[in-house]
Amino acid sequence: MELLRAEHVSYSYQSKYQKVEAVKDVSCVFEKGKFYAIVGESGSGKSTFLSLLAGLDLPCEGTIYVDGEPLSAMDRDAYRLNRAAVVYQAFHLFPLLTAQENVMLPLEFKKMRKKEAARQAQMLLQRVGLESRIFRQFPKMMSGGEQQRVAIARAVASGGEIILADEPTGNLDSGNEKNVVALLKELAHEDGYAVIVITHNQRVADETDHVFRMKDGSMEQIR
Amino acid sequence: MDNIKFGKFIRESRQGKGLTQKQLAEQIHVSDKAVSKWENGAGFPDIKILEPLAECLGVSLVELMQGERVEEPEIDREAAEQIVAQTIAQSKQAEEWQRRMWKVKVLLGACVCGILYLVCVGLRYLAGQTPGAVSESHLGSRGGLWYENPVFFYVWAGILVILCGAGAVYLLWKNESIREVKIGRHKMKGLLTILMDMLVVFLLHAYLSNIANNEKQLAMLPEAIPVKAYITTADGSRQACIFIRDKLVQGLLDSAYVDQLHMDVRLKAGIDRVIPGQWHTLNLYLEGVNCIETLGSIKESDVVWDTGEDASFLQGTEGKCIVSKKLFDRKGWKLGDKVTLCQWYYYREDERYPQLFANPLQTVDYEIAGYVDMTGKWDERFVVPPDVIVPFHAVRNAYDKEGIPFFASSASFVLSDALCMNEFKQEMKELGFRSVAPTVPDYSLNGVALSVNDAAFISTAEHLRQVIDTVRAFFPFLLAMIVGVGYLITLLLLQSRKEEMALLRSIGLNRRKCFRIFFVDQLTLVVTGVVAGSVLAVLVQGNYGGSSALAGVLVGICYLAGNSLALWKLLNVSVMEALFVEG
Repeated sequence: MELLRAEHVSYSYQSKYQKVEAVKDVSCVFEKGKFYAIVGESGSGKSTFLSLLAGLDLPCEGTIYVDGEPLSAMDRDAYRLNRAAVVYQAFHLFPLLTAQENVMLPLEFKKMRKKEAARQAQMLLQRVGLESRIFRQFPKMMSGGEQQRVAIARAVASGGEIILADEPTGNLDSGNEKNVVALLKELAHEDGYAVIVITHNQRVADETDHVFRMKDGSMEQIR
Repeated sequence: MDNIKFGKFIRESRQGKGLTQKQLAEQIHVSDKAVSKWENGAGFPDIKILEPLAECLGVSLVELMQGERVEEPEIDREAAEQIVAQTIAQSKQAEEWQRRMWKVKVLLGACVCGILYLVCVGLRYLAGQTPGAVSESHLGSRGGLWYENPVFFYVWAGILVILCGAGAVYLLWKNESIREVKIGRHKMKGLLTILMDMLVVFLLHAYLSNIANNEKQLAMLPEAIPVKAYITTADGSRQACIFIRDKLVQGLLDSAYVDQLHMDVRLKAGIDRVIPGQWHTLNLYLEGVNCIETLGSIKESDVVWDTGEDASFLQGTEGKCIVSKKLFDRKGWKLGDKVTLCQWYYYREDERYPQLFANPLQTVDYEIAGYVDMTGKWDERFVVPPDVIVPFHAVRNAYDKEGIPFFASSASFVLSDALCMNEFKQEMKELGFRSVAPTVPDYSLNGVALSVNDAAFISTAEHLRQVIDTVRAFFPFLLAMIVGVGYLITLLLLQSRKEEMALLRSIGLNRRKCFRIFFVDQLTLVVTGVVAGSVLAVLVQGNYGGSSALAGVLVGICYLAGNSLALWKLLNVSVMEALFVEG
């Protein structure tokens, strides 16, 4: 079932010296319950395209549709709070919040009561395979794999349908990389999320259902 | 029942029907925000709405309450009752929560207002206790600075407190959550902000106190530097043994600007009687004074008084006198003796010339109230010391009785209010006094000029006024500097938290809500720093009529203004640049 659709999306910005066309006329569809990879070299526009899918900016040309509704007509902050969540290569957990508090954040932003938010957060942390001893630890006490799992749990806590991951395994060793990829795959196939990852890593791309390649701002589907 | 599951079911069912949140909300007559809240698991619909909601979504009531499609067309009675009971309980719980939240909000607002008001009152109380503090009665009588008026202070403090309390409740409660900011966990940054605020309040308090102190000194200047005035001849060369008209004397007595008026009238006298031609019998100098201070260095304590006597009789017209010890001993008098004095007055045939003549005035009996040794207490280079001292007004009355024009021999006084110099000079001019003209010699002995020693007073007053005006002129720049300090310090301290701000934006918080979260954080720190700084300033520097409260409020407002500008600028962070890997 179609969830995200990009139609002739282009995006350019003015750098210090020149105009950069980061995304050129990209059209693609992302469905629920599928696991996607976007591969390409550095500077090909993958992160820019992902940030457009996350609603962090609007395309200069073309439209992105979410469930048939144009993203430009939506409250994009509410979209990121309720429908789509981003997982980053550098994890980007709040350093002075525990694992549980990090996951509770989006729930509290949605005005959930503290007790209920705590309960939900614990459920999600267990869902991503973390033990209860991790719940009250701060990010600096956790391994990279544990931090990324917390970040994924936080993304799932948004209660949305779309997970966008920017090089989620870039800072992980191979063991943790496998675990994180497996988790993302599970979220797609078992929980019905549309999971889109950006990756340089062929091993990660091999685990996905569909692969898109971006080159110089243009995209083609290769699988 | 799981709120998340319930919310997800509503969303899926709505999407299955091809409805947007707004369309669904319109159909069941609620706001789209309410629908959003249910779908996010953050709320539960009122029990009355469940049936129309189920109908719009095309599901049964049981399916709606269970949060999932049910395959079996019927469920047993017990299961149905359990579902209904759970739903009712959930709905009631949600209502109860709403009611409690309102009570908590009102209570919180009242507590914040109360605490802030107590802080203001406490600061004012401390001001009254610290040394160097200016008393309210003094200020009231002097018409002090606007914030020193106690009624005004309590009124604006009350208004400010209510505004702050309402603002705090609004910010805190509208805020999504302040937990992620964790004031207490950013210890160093929080401490630096508090310390900076304390320092700024301290400095501003010193500045305001400086102004208030100078204004106080200016107000008290007439007491510190009394302005003395003397009646002199036209050229200012003589102040004693001159002829001051009775009209001018009366004018001085009646003037509200004249204080500590010292007057005397010089006469010649003889004991018992004066035989014309035998001028050795007119051998005494008699001086009528209105108070003992007129005699200069002779004090009341220098006089040996008869029992029950003091210098107060000099202010009246009683027939008493003080005699010099020399005369007292020579005549072998005793205290309380009555002496008969034949008084002669000085006059001039032509007022333009200083030649003096004497004529008999009256013969009066005086009781000796005391005697005084004038040795070493009188500068004989200018005026011969008196032998007998009698009340001034008694002599004046004698002139009046005999129909002789009265002239005082000297007069000096202190201005009662030196700040009303112009009004005083105008009144003296209207009385007939002239300014001293030292370049035009006057030998007439007419006491017509007024010599005012106001140079020191005017110079000091002008200096103080200049200082006050200069310091005051700097005030707007000072406030602008505080705004700048707030801006720079916030920018520096929160630079490292740009990533957190980007992350909050990425999670779905809009810029306005992000701003509110960080602003509440900063507000707490600034208020803490300002209150601490105000208390410290009062303890260290003392308080001048509420200047500590004023300094605190001004710093708080200006610092927060700069702080807000910096926050808004920081929140302009590009999430893409801050969080995404270059790609």
